[in-house]
Amino acid sequence: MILDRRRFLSALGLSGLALGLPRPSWAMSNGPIRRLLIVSTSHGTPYEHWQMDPEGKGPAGSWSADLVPLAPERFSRSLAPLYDQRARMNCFDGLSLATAELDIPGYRHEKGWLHAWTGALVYFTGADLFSTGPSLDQIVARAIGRPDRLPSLELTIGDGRPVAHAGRAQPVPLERDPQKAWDRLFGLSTTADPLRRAQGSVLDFARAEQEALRGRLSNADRSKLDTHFELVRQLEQRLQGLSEATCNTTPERLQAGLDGYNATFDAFSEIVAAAFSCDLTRVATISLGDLPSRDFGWGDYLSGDAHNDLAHRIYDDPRAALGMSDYTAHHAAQMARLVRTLEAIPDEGGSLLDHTLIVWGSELADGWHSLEKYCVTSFGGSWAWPVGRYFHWPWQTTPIRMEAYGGQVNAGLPHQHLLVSIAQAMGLDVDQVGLGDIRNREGTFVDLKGPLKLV
Amino acid sequence: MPLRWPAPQVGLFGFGLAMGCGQVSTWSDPPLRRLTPTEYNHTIRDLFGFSIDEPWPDVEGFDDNDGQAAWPWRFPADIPIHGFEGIAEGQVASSYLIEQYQAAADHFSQFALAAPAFWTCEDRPACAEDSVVRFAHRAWRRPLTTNEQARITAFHQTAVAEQGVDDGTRLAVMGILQAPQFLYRVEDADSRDAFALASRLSYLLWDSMPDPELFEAAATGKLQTKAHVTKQVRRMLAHPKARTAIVAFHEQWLGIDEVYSNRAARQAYAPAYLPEIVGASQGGLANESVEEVWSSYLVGAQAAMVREAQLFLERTVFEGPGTLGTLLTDHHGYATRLRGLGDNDTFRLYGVTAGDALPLEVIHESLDDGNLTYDFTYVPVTFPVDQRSGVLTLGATLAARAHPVHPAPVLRGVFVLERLACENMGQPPDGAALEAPPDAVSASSTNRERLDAITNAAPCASCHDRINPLGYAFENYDSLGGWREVDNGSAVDASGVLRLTGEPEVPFNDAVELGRALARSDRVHDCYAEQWMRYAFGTDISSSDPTLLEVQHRFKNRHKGRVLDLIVDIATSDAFRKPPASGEGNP
Repeated sequence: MILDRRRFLSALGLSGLALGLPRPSWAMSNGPIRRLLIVSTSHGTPYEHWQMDPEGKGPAGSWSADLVPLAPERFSRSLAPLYDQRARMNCFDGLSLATAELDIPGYRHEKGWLHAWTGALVYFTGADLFSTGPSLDQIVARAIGRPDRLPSLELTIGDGRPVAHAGRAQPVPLERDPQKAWDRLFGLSTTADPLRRAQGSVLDFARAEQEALRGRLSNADRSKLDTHFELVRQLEQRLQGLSEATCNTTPERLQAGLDGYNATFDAFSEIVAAAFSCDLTRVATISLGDLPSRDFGWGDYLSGDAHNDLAHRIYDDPRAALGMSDYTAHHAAQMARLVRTLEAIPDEGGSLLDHTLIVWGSELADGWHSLEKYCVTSFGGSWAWPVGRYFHWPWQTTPIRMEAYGGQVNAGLPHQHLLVSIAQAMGLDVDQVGLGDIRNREGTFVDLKGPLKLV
Repeated sequence: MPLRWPAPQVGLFGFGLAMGCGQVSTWSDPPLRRLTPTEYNHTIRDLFGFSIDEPWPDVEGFDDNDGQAAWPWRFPADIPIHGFEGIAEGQVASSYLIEQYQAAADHFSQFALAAPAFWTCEDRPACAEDSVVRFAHRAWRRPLTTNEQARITAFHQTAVAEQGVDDGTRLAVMGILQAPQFLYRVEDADSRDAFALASRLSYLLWDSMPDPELFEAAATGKLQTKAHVTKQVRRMLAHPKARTAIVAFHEQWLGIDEVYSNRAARQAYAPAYLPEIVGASQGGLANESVEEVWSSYLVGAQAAMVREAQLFLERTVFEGPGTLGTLLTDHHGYATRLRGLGDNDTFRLYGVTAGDALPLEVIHESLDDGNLTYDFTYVPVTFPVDQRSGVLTLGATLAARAHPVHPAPVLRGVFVLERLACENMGQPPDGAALEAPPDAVSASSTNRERLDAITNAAPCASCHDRINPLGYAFENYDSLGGWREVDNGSAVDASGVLRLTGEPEVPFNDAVELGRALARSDRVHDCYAEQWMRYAFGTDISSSDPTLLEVQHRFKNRHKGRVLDLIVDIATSDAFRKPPASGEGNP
């Protein structure tokens, strides 16, 4: 079958979203720079221990409520460590990863993390599961990134899921080593591996070969190589720009590798904060793999395997659900430290957090591999939407049948609307991220376009 | 007369994308092709002299725990055009790809220095420069020009002076692997010679670089005549690398990988194919839901179907009669015993038993998908002669074109028309998809009746009159490719009429009869030859191109549809051996 234009653009990862997007208005003015940080954790969270109802409005209807007046004891078990940050955070309650349920069979983890951050269907080669489109971070990075800096930074701890995708079948590698991440950002401007510093000369050599060939090629071939080596030039520009960048907040380069999950998370937080502050990048993703159960106080429970003993058993064993609630709370404590780090750095008449949007989601809705009741929290972004709010949409109102413990239920609001809201918050003029609609198993189309309607 | 190449369509991003029949004119430049991900990895393996089966050597500082194995490198895929990778129009560079080339060059340069074929002597400082020059010659797949050698030597000398012998040599290797002469199959005015031909042959027949014997033939004038080339092509086709490469062509042609998008519904298919889980309670299946057990079954079955297809293709092309007709009609194939989550198999799916097994080699393999390990046993079997017809009724072909509950006659019909008969059906009009009947278990009519009710009226009928009958031919096969005689209580009606451009109509009663009709069709033979030409030349070929016409004529008449003879004809054609010089005919 011959590719039509839409499929072709989609295959390139360019379907409207990444191609020819005008730069956002803030990037054209002298106003503060906006940054986006996505944090994706593993196994979702047990909804009952995450959700809140600050003003007693009940599960029906769409509503929002003010988090600020809420007493500490009414903050949910999973989010309790974020109580002090409640004026800067939002909770999104009522979403689902419904489109992942309609995708290929099996692979619920993989489908979950691909849908969660791309909003697009997956593509299975037989060996690997890929996205069919770019992830939100990459879409935003292309629109707001500087040509002489890293367009985006992708980090991971443990077996963090590959959540960043440049386009169809183009997973972006994740850096797990704080030293290497530091080197990539700050290394070229200080001292670093001589082989790394010499990469510019290697690329120069390759470009010289292209120049030498140019005159001997046909117009079409020359044009094709020109396109390729223009991208090589841009890579060199990034390497050059980073080697010349100055940064007053450069953290110390670690002298040894870090063992602890928390220590690595805090090191990454500092690196991201400094990179944002010095405008070395404007978009970052941190993909957080499984927490060791001892880290959140459950190391002695059964075999100590958080994935099998806790995550998979949340509906079979009330203690396992409490364990996964503590798992989420441990991440919440990490997020609280991250928020404080960004708050402490001055930026353009405010703090770095004033000019950053942090979005915390997961690969799945919960440890039972459910894709409904998908819980998301955000911090900052106050230039784009109200903060300190709990947003709620009613469950089971979208006609997509979801696997749920004990039977099937209708889905919550497809999360694609949240992805659109985030893109718009970053100044992008888009109405769709990933899928624009999808057909359910009964043959009816479900619309996925447009931002969340924040009450 | 030179091969005529279609003009690129002026359009998106400054490269061409041929959009359909009747829109091609001619130009004289063969397109510049980049190594596909497969070709890049195979080339690296052969360049370093590592074998297919053995693990790569350990090198200091490399840790395969961080997600990247020593080999292969995971590059972004080419965009498939007509299902094929390696078509110039589908090879678009991206920032990500460029970073991957840099990362891959850095990665593989570690192994280059550890490769037995790299150093020309024991004393590294003494022969580093010779080693780099020889490496470049092989990596770029032709002798270096004087200027190229001078540039490489100068870069290497500077790098060694700054970084020492090993690191300086590594930098030179990185540069050589990121130069256009490595990444692209450059055929400029200086290189359109025997070495360019050697590369064309090796990438067509092996998906990799030339071996020493082919290089030697190029260097000693042993690729000048058609007889020379024929001898090399026959030699190369006898090598195991040719089997992998030629099976890979067929997999792309048939869209075998698309089977992985199959989402057969548990409610519809578990009772027949995995009855153990029907009615199973949640508690009875420990921490796995019934749906996940079903999903695991599908994953295993899909992998089995792909391998069954590969084995069928290899055996039919290389060990059987080797004709297109056999590919379309043979009722022998493979079934799989699957040991994973429970004991399953595709025997049940195909309605065969171990008693139908042929006395051929049984193959055992295993797959680890990260969650589960599956063990597969592939058994050669004889299918019921009135039920299976070659590639048309492979599990993978059928399951690749199915909705979760019901088979998809439109997808199956379009597959036959476009892939097998080169009849471009174009895109359905806007909104057509919204009209498709619901794919529900509770449907109260047959699949055929539901589709007819929607498509029989104008304007749909103008296309669906041709598409639907070819899809209905496969109504005896459910969404997983299993045999069925009843659809929703009614006997399956798989009859129809084959209507191909320029040929008389042929009525058929089922897929087996359709297979026989396709196997007799000149148009299907012409199309198969055209697909091979497209794949060999990396672009669309005008249907009136004289080389294509001659290849098609010989394929049908002289070779009686023998696949390997067709490949030899293409590889030894004047157009393949001597493409026009760059710039000829170019405005």
